Formats: sequence, C-alpha cells, structure tokens
Amino acid sequence: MGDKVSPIAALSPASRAWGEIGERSEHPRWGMVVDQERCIGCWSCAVICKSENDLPLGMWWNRILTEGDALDQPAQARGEALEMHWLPLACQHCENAPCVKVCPVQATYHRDDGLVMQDNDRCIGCRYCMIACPYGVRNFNWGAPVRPTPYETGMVAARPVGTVEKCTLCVHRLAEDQVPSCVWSCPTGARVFGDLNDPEGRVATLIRDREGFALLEEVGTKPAVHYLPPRRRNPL
Amino acid sequence: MDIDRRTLLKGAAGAAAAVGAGAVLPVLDPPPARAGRDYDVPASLPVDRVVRTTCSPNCTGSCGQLAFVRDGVIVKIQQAADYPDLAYRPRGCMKGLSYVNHVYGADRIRTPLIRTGERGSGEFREATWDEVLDRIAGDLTRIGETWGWDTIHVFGQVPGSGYIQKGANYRAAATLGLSHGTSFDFNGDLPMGMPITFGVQNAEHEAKDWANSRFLLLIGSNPVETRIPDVHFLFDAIEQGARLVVVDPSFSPTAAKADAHLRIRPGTDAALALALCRQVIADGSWDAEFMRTYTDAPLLVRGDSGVRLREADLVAGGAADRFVAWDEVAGAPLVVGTERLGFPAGSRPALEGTRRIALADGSAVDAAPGFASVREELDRWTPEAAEAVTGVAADLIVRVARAYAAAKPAAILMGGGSNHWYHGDLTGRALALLAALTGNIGKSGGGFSVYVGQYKVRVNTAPWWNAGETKAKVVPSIYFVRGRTDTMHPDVPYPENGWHGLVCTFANLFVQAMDVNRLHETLAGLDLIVVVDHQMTETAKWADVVLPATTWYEKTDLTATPLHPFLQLQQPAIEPVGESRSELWMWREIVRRIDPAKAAAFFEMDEVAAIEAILAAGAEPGGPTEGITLEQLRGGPVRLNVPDPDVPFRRQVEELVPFPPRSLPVPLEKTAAFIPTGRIEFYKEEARFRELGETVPTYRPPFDDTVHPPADWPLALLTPHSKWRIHSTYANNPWLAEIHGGRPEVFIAPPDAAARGIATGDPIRVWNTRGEVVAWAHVSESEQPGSVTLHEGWWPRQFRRGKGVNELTSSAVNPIHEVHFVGNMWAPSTGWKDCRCQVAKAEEA
Repeated sequence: MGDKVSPIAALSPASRAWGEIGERSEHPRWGMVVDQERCIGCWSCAVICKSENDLPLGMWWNRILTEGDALDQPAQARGEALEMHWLPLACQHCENAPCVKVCPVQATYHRDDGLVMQDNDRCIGCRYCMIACPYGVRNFNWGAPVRPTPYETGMVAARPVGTVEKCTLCVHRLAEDQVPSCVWSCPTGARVFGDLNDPEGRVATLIRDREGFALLEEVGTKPAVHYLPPRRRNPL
Repeated sequence: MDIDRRTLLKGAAGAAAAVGAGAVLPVLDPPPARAGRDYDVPASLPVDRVVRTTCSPNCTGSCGQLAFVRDGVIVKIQQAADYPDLAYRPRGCMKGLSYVNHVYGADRIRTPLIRTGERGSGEFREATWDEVLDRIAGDLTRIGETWGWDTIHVFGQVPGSGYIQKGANYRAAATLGLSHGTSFDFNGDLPMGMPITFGVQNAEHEAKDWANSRFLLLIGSNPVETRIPDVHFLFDAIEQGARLVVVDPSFSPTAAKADAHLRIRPGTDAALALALCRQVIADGSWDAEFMRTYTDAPLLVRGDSGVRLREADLVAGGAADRFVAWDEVAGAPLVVGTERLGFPAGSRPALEGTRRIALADGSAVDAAPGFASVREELDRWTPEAAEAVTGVAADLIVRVARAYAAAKPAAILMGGGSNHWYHGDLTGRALALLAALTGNIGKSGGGFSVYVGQYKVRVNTAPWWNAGETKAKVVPSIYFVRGRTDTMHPDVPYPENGWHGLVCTFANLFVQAMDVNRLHETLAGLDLIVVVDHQMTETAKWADVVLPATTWYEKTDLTATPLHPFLQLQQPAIEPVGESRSELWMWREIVRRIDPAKAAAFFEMDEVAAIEAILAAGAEPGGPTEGITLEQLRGGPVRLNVPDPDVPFRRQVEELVPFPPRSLPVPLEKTAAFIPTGRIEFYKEEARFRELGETVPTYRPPFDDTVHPPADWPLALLTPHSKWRIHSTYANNPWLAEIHGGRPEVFIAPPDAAARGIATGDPIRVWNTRGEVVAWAHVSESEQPGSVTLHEGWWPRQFRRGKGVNELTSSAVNPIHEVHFVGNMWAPSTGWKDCRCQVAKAEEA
C-alpha cells in the first residue's frame, strides 16, 4: 500500500491548522472546559472517541449524561418548569487521582503535564482503580473486543484483554500538537482544550469568567476537566 | 429533580452505566510521586491517505468529512475543518462519524440479488451484473412497449446531496421517457406557504446568518436534534444577547435551550401566528411602508368577484397584468405595474377602505385593498381566541409578539413540525405575514426561513439532468402511492396506463412513504421492482432485483445544501465494497442494453465530465458557479457565487426588483406565475383559494380530525425526525443503538399513560384506521397530554409488529397544492404529522 504517514501529517494545511492546540505556558497542565450551555447531548464526542480509540462494542470512554428523567428526557426542576441539560463525562485527569493512589503496580500514573495515563503492559487487571474512581469512567476488557465490522479501526492499537482502559485525552494526538478528537468533533464548540497553567489562556479565562466548576469538588480530586454551567434564561 | 451537578448528578441518567459506580473515597493526601520510568507514549497509527469528501445522507448537513484509509479500509471518519469561512469549521455529527459501520456492516449489500421467494420474503439468490442488467433491460423494455415507458416510476430523493448520481436518474428518465418522481413535495418538506406567498420553491437564510439575529422564533423546529452541524449559530446569537423562543408541542431538546417554550397543541401553529400578527398591528408596531412597497397589501380586490382589479377593467385596451391601487394623495385609482416594486413618488396607496371604482364598460364596482381582507381575518385572532385553539396562554402570546416586534432583526425559523401538515401552507403564509409586517424580509438576521430537506438545486444541472433538450417527465410521487386525485392539476404527466414498474434509488420507500399499506396496493400491480441501495432495507426485501450501490465513500459526486453556501465534491476514499457500483454506472449499462444509440448519445459521460459540464453551465457572469473550477473543488469546499451572508430577497428589498427570484432549475416564468403581481402575495385570487375560503392566511383544524374524529381518536400522533437517524438511515448503526437502546419508543404523557395502565417499557399498540404497530412505551413529561410521539425512521424489524410508523400516516392531498403544478415547487406537500391514533397496552406477551 505504499508508505504510510501519520494521520495528522496527512491532513490538509487548513484542517491541521484548525486542530492545533495553540498557546501554552512553559510547563503546561492540559485540561478541558466543557460548556453545558453549548452541549446538545449529541454524543459526537463520544462516537469519535469510540472510533479514534478503537473501542469495542459495549465500551465508552466518554458518555453523555442527561440531567433529566432519562436519555434526552426532561424532568421538573425544583417542582416547577421542565429542565434538561447534558453532562459529558470521561476521565477527569485528576491532579489528586484516587486511581493513581490505589494502583498496586503503578500502571496508572501521572505525566508531567497532568495527564493520568494507563500503562496496559503493567496493568494486572485487579480493577482497584475502577472501584476508587468516583466518576465511574474506567473500563475493563473482559474479553476479546467485539466490533461491528471485520476491521480494527482507529488511530491507536486495541488494549489487551484483562486490562483497564480509559480516556487518554488523545495523548497520541497531543504529541503532534493536535487537540483531542472529542474537541475537534464537537459540532457546537462546547469543548475547549488548553493549558490550565496559563492564567490568560482560554480554558483558565472561561473557568474564571463563566463560573466554571469541577465534578465532586468536595472530595478533593482536583480534576483537569472543568464545566461551565448553563446560562440563566432571559424570560419574556 | 433537584439539579445540583457540583455534588454530582442525583437523578442524572445516561444510556450506558450509571455514573458514580465507584465508591466516593475521600482523597486527602497528595498523589504518590510519579514512577521515574520513561513511559512510551503511543503515536498515532499511520495511514495510507486521508481523503476529503462529503457526507451525504438525506439530511441538509452536507458536511465535509475526512476518510482515514489504512490498507484499503476506512479506519476513521472525522469532520474536515477546511471551510474558508471559519464559522463553518468543522461541521458534522455523530451519525456521519459512525458511517464506517454501514460501509462494512452486516447489512451491507455486496452483490446483485434476484428474488427467489415471495415479494417481501427477503429470499434472494446472488447474481452476476450481466444477469441482472439483462433482466432489468428486458423487463423495462417489455413494460415500456406494452404499457408505455412513462408507467415506470423512478424514485430518487432530494438532489442536493448528489447532483451527479441522483442526476443520473433524471438523465435516464429523460433518455428513456420514464416518469421521474418527486421528493421535496413528497417528503412534505416543500413549504407550500413559500410558493404561494413569495413565488419561490423555498428561500432560506444560510445558517451562519442565525448568529446575526436579535430574536429567534423557532416553530416546529428542533435544530438541537436535527440541525446538529448548524445549531451552534443559535448559541452564537444568544451569546450576543439574542433571545430564543421555541414553539413546540413537546419539550424538545431545543426547548430545553430556550428562553421561553410555548407548548402548543399539535397542528395549531397558524392560529398562534395569526394572533401574533394581530397583536403586532394592535400595538402599532408594524411597518406599513414595508407592506405597501413590497407586498400586494394595497392592490385592490373586486368586491363582486374576489379577484384583483386590473388596468383592463379600468380602461379599454388596458393590460390584464397591471394592477390597481387607490392613491390617497390623488384620491384616484393608481395603476401598478409589475416591472418594479414600490410606487411613484408622491403617491400613497391606501391599505384600507372600500372605494367605488368606475370601470371601462361604464359600470362601477366596490373594491378594497387586499390587506383589508387580511386585517378582517386577523381581527378574529385575539390572544384569547388563539389561546382557546392553541393552548398557549394569551398573555404569553402578547409578550412574544411584543418581544419579537421590538427586536431588530428578528428571525423566524420554521421546521418540519409545522410544515408537515395538510394545512402547513396556511402556517407558512401566516408566519410570512408576521415577518413582512415587521419588515424583517430581505434583511440579515431576520427573515422567515423554512428548513426541511436538502432539496435545493444551486447549480445549473441542465447539461447533466436533461438528455439534450429533453427533460424528464416529473410526476409527484404522492400520485404513485395513492393514484391520481380528482383535483390533480392537468399539467401533471400522469401515465395513462397507471403504474407498472418502479426503480427505487436512495430511498427506503416502502417504510418511509406515508400510508404504506396503501402504497403496497400500488406495488401489487407492478411488473418490476428494482431497488438500488447499499443496505438491506425492508424496501430492498420487497424488490424483484436488488442492485448493490456504492456508499458515498466509494464514488464521485457534487453536493450542496440550503444550510450553507459551499459546493463540495464527493471523492472515492476506497474501492467499491464487494460488487457495488455507482448509480451512473448502473444506468449507463441499462440504457446501453435498451438502446445503444441513446447510450452513446447521453451516457458516455463520466462523473467528472458531468461535474465539469455543470460548472461550465453556471459560469456566466453572476452565475452560481462563476469562477469555480474542478481543481478548486478537489482541494476542498468552494463558496458558490452568492452574497455573504446569503440572505434571500435582498435584491427585491434593496433594489425594488420584483418577486420572485429564480428557483433553479426551472425557468423564472414558471414560478413567477405563482404570484402574478410580482409582489409578496398575502391575498390569493385563484378560484380554488376563493372556493375554499383561503384567499388570506387563516387557520384550519388538522385535516385528520375529519378522518379520525378526536372524540374517537383521542391522541395526535407526532412522528418527528430523530437525532439518531437521518430518516431511516443509521437505524441499524450498532454504535448509536448502544446509546439509544435500539427499539422504537412511544413517548406518552403521564396522565394519558395512567389512564391506559401503561408504564415505561410496556409494549403498546398504536393504531388508527390506516394501520397498526406495536412498540414500547416511554412515559415522559416531554409529551403533552393529548399527543404521543413516535419518531419516524425505525425499521420494521425493530418494532414488535408492523411495517413501521407510516402504516398510520396519511396520504391526503390538499387541493390548494394542485392549483398550479411545477414538480417539487408547487405540488402536493404531504402531512406526516397530520395524524390521529389510539394507543393501548399490547395484549400479547
């Protein structure tokens, strides 16, 4: 089939430029902001994650919760009007990560840039990390991957049976200065990726200006993923 | 529900595992020091190439996609981010991103098939291309010579998603004399209020222009689910301070984003629109100058006949196509030509009052401006009267009217939820009136736009769609489903000998057509059913011969959409899967076997030559493809030669050029005949409008109330588009099924469910006199009492019983839609949502 190239090097200049991470500090800590006002619960981020990372049937590193009664169904908020919002949920890449603490073989570890990584060569499948994670975002390979097509897809190799896996913030893309695929593929611009250590950068600015919050702040995990709450409505 | 996401999501529901499966451990210590090893970071696995192409279901997105190919296999599909206009970067949704499952999935058709069992049994044997092509050519010839070539119906869905391959259908129909069906009207997407009012097929602001609006009134429109690539423009507008008001019977995900949600009774949108118009006038916040200058408001209508007064009525030898207003300055009639909008300086045409006008024959007649009739109708629609019909509180109607009128510019976005009714034309006319009364027509950020269907022909397709000078005969496909109507327009080339063959491409017709049980009666009389598809749909199962089509990742095409102004190519990323072939290739082979001379004349062109011919045909100064080359398109999207932003009717409003602008591909005079005044027409004088009492925008109750009286059929059945599908495409996508559960749910309000002893998850029957299905109940506050929602597009195999929800929908034809005839432009637009039913818990286990 001829010489193969990096899928990022193969992009057109326009597309490639669009996906560049951009400004950062000297020692970046990568993080993400997810805007609940812009999130429409479409699962594009989750589907591209599935494709990018060759996730088998039955596994989602990233999924979209409906704050409501059921998938895409509203509930009465505080006994009054109906409300519904969406909350995309994947690994929060905690600074104070319970999964890292409990891993007996240091298969789960931090990189200098804050990413919580999973070394599947070291992972012994004990699943302590899955119990420890308060967000429920880690997955276990119980058997050989089942796919809807005869082909392995995606941009990374499938993980071995008997190991744990989860969102990597598309670390294989970061190496080539490209945002994670969920950020690229969000059709509403609800996801912003960047350096939390850059106080004037976009993620830090959004968190500051839009009352950003983290999930389960009270347990002290210090996630790298932050959320912007839905706007106040402007009633007639 | 007490939403408190900071402490995490009590009551939050996901489709996959529940959140918080792990115990919440207090984490007090700093993490252990990172192990000092030099961990390998995986690099992206390399690929052979990345091919830039365009996603192309029947969806209006027209989203640029990148196909990542490794060892000849597509391993990822992801949006291209190469639109020259950054506002459009990137566009796409989860469906397009998951298409790889259809390219290689279990339902992919890989070889030609010939039926061996009964029709519909799904029993086939594999065949060679030569065998199926010979068989089809032979059968078509036999039918053509016995019954007439026009008794063969070619159905092919909207052209914007593929001018070349879908155009091959038109070219073949023109070459062989087959009847080509319609799609835009058949889909109920043709907003008949547009040709009636503006003389155009449709005309909408490009999606980017939503961001320029100060007030967005969405009615029957759910872009959060059905315009995923474009919905961010609403959020862009909101971030600039715009208000979003959503009118929808259900609490849709779009309603969840709104500043106000008007929960309207299904099918009553016109009553709301009329009340808004009345309120704007009552508040004195309407633009009389706009009405005078651009609309037929001042043109006098004869009291004796209800037709407009002409110059020929006033003076012997006067023109029949020049109209008359009453000049308040001169106190005399004023003849109004159609060359230019507006009025002579110094005149002031009256918008009200009846005058006695002397006629050329010595008699006299009472005449009043058309707007007087409009006002008379509006006077009925007090907020209280509208509340009684719509269920929307009167004070809320007043507040919406005031906020809409105060915001400049303000946009109205109407969707299929409002249009897919027998009387959807009246809703469109009333909303157009609201936009005109407030001077919002022809202005960036304003307007009245209807978004349904990738119908738009944005290039000059003549050199490809026509066979030389011969155009395909176009017969609205509704007449294929149900036969001709008594009121059918005489210009419709309905075949004298009825229907004897069907070639169905790009469509799951036997599931997605309305009133499918009636369609099956038509099918029973057909000598040949050919289905071209790449998925083994229920329609393919009913075919005599199935031809394996390439997906849009395996062929070349040219696409465009109403939602954005970029022309794009489809370029093959991989070799055709199995034995699949493009539609153009199939038609060339069929025509060669029927008539080699015609094939030599019309079917030797390949896709690239067809694209070049289309580009050249529109390249004249001011033409749609002026300056656009194939080479540019190979590199990425190219903006059509349209203004930026693309706002309809701008020339009319800024330069006083008469309405309508041209609707490609038909000549201007064909659609100009819809509005002989050359103005926006709110008064229709044609006989049928007068007979039916619809000369001016008015309200009619849902038509199906006459078939299924609400007393016996207590529930409206709403069948909106699903965010998980494009019609029936993607219904069999395994990734998406993991999210939504993969089986049809009927959403029902808690009181209606309780009254029937229905709980979420129960199998329930949904039926009316046309048909019955069994699906599963989902009790939800999203539904209002009195209606149920079952999204269209589920495949029959996903129901517990039935041919799909279109067993229940109606094929009724509104005779107003037959007053003129231009296929896909003034033709019967169908009323999917105009449907009543009953539901009950299914008895069987």
